[in-house]
Amino acid sequence: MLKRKFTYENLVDLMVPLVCILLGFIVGMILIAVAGKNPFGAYFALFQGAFGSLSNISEAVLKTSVLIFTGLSVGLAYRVGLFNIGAEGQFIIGGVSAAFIGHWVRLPAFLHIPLIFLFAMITSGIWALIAGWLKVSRGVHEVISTIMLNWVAYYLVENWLVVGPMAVQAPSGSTISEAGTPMIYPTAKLWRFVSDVPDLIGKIFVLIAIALVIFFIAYYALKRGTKIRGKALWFFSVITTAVVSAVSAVFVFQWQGGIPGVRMNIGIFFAIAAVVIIYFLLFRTVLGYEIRAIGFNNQAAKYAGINVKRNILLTMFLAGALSGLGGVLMVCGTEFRFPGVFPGGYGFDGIAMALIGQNSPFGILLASVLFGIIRGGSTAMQLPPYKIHKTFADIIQGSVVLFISAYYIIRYVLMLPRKRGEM
Amino acid sequence: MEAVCELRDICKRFPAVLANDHISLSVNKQEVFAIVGENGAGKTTLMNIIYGLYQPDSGQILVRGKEERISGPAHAIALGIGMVHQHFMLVPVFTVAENVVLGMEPTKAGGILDLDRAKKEVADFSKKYGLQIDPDARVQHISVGMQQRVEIIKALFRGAEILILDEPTAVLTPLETEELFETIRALISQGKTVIFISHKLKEVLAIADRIAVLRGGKVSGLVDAKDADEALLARMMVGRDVVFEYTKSPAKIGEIALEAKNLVAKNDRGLEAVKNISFQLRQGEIIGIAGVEGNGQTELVEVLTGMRSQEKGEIYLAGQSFTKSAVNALRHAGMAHIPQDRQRTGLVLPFNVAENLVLGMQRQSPFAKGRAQNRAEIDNFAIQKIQEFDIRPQATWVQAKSLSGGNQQKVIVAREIATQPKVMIASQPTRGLDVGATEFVHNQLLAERDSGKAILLFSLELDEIMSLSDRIMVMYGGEIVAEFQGGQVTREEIGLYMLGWKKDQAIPGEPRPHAQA
Repeated sequence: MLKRKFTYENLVDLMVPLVCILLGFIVGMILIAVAGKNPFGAYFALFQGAFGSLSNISEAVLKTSVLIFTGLSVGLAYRVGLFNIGAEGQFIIGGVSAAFIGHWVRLPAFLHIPLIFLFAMITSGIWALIAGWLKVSRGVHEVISTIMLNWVAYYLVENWLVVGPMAVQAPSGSTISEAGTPMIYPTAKLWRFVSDVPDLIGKIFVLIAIALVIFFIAYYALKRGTKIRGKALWFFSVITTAVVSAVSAVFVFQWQGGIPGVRMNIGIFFAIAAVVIIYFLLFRTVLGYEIRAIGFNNQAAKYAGINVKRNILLTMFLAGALSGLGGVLMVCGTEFRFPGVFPGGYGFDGIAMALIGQNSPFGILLASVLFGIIRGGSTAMQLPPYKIHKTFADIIQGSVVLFISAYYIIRYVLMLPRKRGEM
Repeated sequence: MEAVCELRDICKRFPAVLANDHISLSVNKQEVFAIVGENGAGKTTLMNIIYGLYQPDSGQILVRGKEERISGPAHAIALGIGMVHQHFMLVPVFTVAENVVLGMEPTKAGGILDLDRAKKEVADFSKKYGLQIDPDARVQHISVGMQQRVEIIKALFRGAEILILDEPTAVLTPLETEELFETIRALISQGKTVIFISHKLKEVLAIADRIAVLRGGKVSGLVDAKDADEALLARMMVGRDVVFEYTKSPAKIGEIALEAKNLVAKNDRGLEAVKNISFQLRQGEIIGIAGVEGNGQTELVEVLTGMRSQEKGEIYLAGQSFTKSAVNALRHAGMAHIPQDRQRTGLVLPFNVAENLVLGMQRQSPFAKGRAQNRAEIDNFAIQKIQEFDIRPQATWVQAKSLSGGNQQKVIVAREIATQPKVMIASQPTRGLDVGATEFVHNQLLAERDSGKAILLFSLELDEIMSLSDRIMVMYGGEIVAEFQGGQVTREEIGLYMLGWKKDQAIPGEPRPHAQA
């Protein structure tokens, strides 16, 4: 058997998105220069803005975690061959679902938050399923149906539910910023692990979570890296977990004061977990194999006896659920209600994340981290001496997407040195 | 008689085959000159040489008595040679007029498209040659016959005097074919010359003045249509020895493995393509289904494998009834399928070889453990099959799209045999393969037969059918028109049935009692 080699071509495939990002930054620099400002200084301010303080980093992380969910949503649907423009609508439905369960249901936190996740995944999944069903039963193109469903969701939620049946009973004379749904109960809020110190029960939960994560890491690391198998594998994993957990316990129980105002919350861990789960789903399960087969070659999937329609519906449901979780993070992690003016757009940004990340879960993760940083830092660029409007982040993102759509041209250019070498 | 186009000693060699072997022909002005021959006889190569798409290795082309080196289609068009390809080259969303003028659009001052003039010119052309067409109709909304008419007008618009029609009737209904013949007669009366390529002898006899027969890259006969009949042409076309002789052990016929009862199915255009077909396929035998392309074989394969729903009739696999399209259920019951289009249907090209080798088996043990894939088992299986079938390059991780056609086919054959089927449906399993790969696939099919599998072989290559089959059926016009025992029939005889010249009226649609050896 031939050994797998890392060729120049493989390198180029990895380089293309990076080159596109670089070109996008260069376009941004030119535009800043045209506006008569110092582009190097502006970029410096951008990154200082993102990393300058803990609360700045926290803002970047918040944006990253939502972008990951909507990006995964678009990327997953693309794997089955559908272009999910409807991430924005699914995002809104997920958000309003979280606001509903968050305020109208009373439960302890360890039940309340899972219920919100479940409910929002189902509602936003069904919202996406409408487009999936129209596709498989009537042949309606998903680009058209999801775009239209975005507007349906938008008007349904923001122009009716949030100002009507679900609106907060505000005292007279309130301003627009107070409009929206009532605040969710504290049990529905995602834990802000930097600012809020948990009580004793919370600390125990944290320790259990740490132990579980350490166990999985230890188990797979030993399985991959050593020849230890069977009972010995379990034994060593448990030992490692126990030692690390014991050390962590010391720190967790001594944990006293938090840093107030840092909005970063455990949503980012859910987002990273989603990346890993979607990766395993796509590349390690039968379902993922079938999804990819359909996306690459519908006809061959049919020939192989794969139920194409069922898989499209299921994938669309999952894609909707992912976007919906983005909305949950927004409501339960940042806003604590569905505000009158919802900070939307993340669904559309998800399309950009999927394109830049080349529909690969880890690619989407990296793209979301980068653009989370840019968005987090762009606030700082608005301040003197640069005073660059924060939509500047959109300009960079837009130009990167433009360059990504010229994928083959950039790939061709990068392949040129190798071609000359062969002649 | 004035020769408008003369070919002298044209030779063209491709890596594996001598496609044109000293071909000399002369086409006269104002005649319909037909070129017939089997698939791979060299017809299309020859036409591509005249149209400038290929350069001959040796020989001369004379156009109107003057020797020309035709460098490309643009040169051919300048010389008054036009070609209508089998697959149309039209822009579906453009109107007829827009398609016709595409590339040489009439313009007003300032380079603005003069669509009115284009429409008028197209209307004038269609009037002059009696080609009824609406210049404003969008190509995507008109019938295939009309689209062909647009292609013909396109060629005439570019000044074609000699019109090459490559398999023009392959996509047409009988009525559309009749209309095409009317058009051809009108063109001849206007002083044009038509070169008509086909392997449908009945049509050739109906329209041509003279007929050249190609076989194996050589001219095997040149006759006046009025002196010829189908039997004569068929003999000239197919009368050659079998290339491969396989040593076949006597068939050990077993139980009925696959039975079709009164199957009726429609094609994508909604026309009835399979008309009341019945047969019984038994364990340990190969039934070869011969026929000219487009006589319902594709649709029959799709119905039998569950990819297309039948209108009427039943399918029994190992005694179990299947009446609706159910690929998965059929596969589970023991159906394997080598599809006719390996790239579009048989493989997921961006998947690697290992992933392709388990396509259709992805849910089975040991490739799946519950809902997870067992990648170690998939890789082991792939390594084993790559070695067993000598798939190259020897790597599980190479994408299927970077394999050669022969190796792609080996992946499919290896996979389908690995399903340990009861019935194997092989549709043109050696299409486009070189000699070595063809022989390999044939030997695999024979080995499967000897191990008691039932095989239904569809092929356009008569040699393949003749050398592998225990029984031979001929499909024509969506029906099985004849059935023979293998080795007890001549190529000529089968050829006549394939071309619809002879028809066993005694056996329409009923299961044939078959004399068993």
